[in-house]
Amino acid sequence: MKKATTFLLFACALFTALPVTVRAEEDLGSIKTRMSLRLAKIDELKSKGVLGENNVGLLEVRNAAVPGVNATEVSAVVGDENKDRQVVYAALAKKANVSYEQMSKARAKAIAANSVPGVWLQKETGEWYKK
Amino acid sequence: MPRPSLLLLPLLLGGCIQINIPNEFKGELTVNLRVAKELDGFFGDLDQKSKTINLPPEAPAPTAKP
Repeated sequence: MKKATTFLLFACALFTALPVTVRAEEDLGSIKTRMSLRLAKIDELKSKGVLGENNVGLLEVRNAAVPGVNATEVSAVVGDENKDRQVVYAALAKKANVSYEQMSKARAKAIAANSVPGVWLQKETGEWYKK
Repeated sequence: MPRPSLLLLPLLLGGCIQINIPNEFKGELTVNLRVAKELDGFFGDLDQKSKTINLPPEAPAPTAKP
């Protein structure tokens, strides 16, 4: 009887945890697809100096008053991208067993190190510069 | 002209040298590697496609010897 109860509890726990894990992976997959679709626009805005990468791995508007750039569209792109990035950093931090801040700052450092010249970046001190 | 035995001396002494890396440093190194691995796993292909991120070239894969 005790064995059967233990088995039943184990089976319940397994079938409850499994869909959650699968869902989390699916979510990251769909976020990645969305980020991939947004990439060309973000690259364009970063190249024009409209957007910059801050020191916590998020996008920030540097100068929306560039001819031919729609401020509303820029704001929407930044909002959507940052929301997705925050979910990704939280998920990756959980997987690596580190804090959200560690993960987002590590990403910011990697972006800064590998960005091409001309991209706006933020130093750890908060100061902005063009690479 | 130094004697051959003298030339071997650094090699022999090298075996006696023990470098201790503090545990907290080892831990930090492991954490940084875990973080880098997770970031690379997710953002690796996105960064490859990006025109504003230039990833350092990967080390060439070792070629198999016959």
